[in-house]
Amino acid sequence: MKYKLGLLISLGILVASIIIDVLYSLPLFVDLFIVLFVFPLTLMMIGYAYMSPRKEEEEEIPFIGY
Amino acid sequence: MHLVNILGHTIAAMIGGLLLIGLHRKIIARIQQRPGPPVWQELLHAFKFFFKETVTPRTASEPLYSGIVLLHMALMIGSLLVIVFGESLLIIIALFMIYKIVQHGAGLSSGSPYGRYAGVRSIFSIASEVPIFAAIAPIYALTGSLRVSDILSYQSLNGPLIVQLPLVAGALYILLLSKVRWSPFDIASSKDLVSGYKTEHYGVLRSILLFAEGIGLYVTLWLFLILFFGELSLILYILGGILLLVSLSFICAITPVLTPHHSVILQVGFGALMLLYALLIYWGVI
Repeated sequence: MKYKLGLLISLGILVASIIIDVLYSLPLFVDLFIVLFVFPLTLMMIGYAYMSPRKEEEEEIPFIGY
Repeated sequence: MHLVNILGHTIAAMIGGLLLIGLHRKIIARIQQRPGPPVWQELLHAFKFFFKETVTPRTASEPLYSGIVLLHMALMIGSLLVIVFGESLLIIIALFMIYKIVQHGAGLSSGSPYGRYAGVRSIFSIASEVPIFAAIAPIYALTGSLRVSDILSYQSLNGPLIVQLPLVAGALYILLLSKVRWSPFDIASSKDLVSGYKTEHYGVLRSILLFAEGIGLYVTLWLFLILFFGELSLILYILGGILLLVSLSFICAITPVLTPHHSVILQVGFGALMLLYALLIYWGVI
């Protein structure tokens, strides 16, 4: 649920900034912030929010360390 | 340039880059007389990983383990934008240097021994940046600028740099070779370390690493074509990129991965030769 909320926020910022940029042309540093930070974060949130759960594990394998 | 255009370039680089990696893999396989996976296999891998459950190892040090993936993507998009905006090559060099920190951080943050070894090797592989340091010196000596837009203007007036600086093209070709996967210089993610610094990154994190790697290949091929062939049409850029990749794949297919110290010696050697060449151009000897 928290990932879906994160996705909603990051996607909202991304879409809103695209619309504002088309209408009013945002400054370059805002464009860069969106492309370099918000866009990868949105991708990550999509993956986390809609990841398919693993199948049931049969038994717990004890961690013996590396 | 609008945000939509920048995002369009980024998505094209993500998809195009992964198709190029797929082509690279296919060519290597065919040269080694194996059928190899289809060209779009890397793209399918990236989409498949995207929706897999992301598992974080117990030994991983969060938030570096996840954050480094975002940094990798940001660096590769940043280097793409440097070319799109025609900015200075120095920024690309800086971004490529920080990329080594990404490899180091990704490897060490996972806690896996394979990742740790790859993290240490990534420090050795900083030597792969020496040819680019050295290669830009003759370009500056000749064109008087390091801005991509100025270098393009110079070439439209004086012809392509590949004719004037063939040795520099050779040095930058070594850089390309060190950036592609399965190359003799690919010591940080060679198969003796499973997947190197990416071994423990799974699910969406692996997917973003793959997309970033695709952008990286797209950028390096495009940079080479821009620096040495100047302004070309889209078709010629695609054809040139594919031809360049075929030549790289051929070398990767027939050459084993070098040991870290051999890799460093070879790359530093090429760098030293290029610096000497730059000095000869600067003093007007050549």
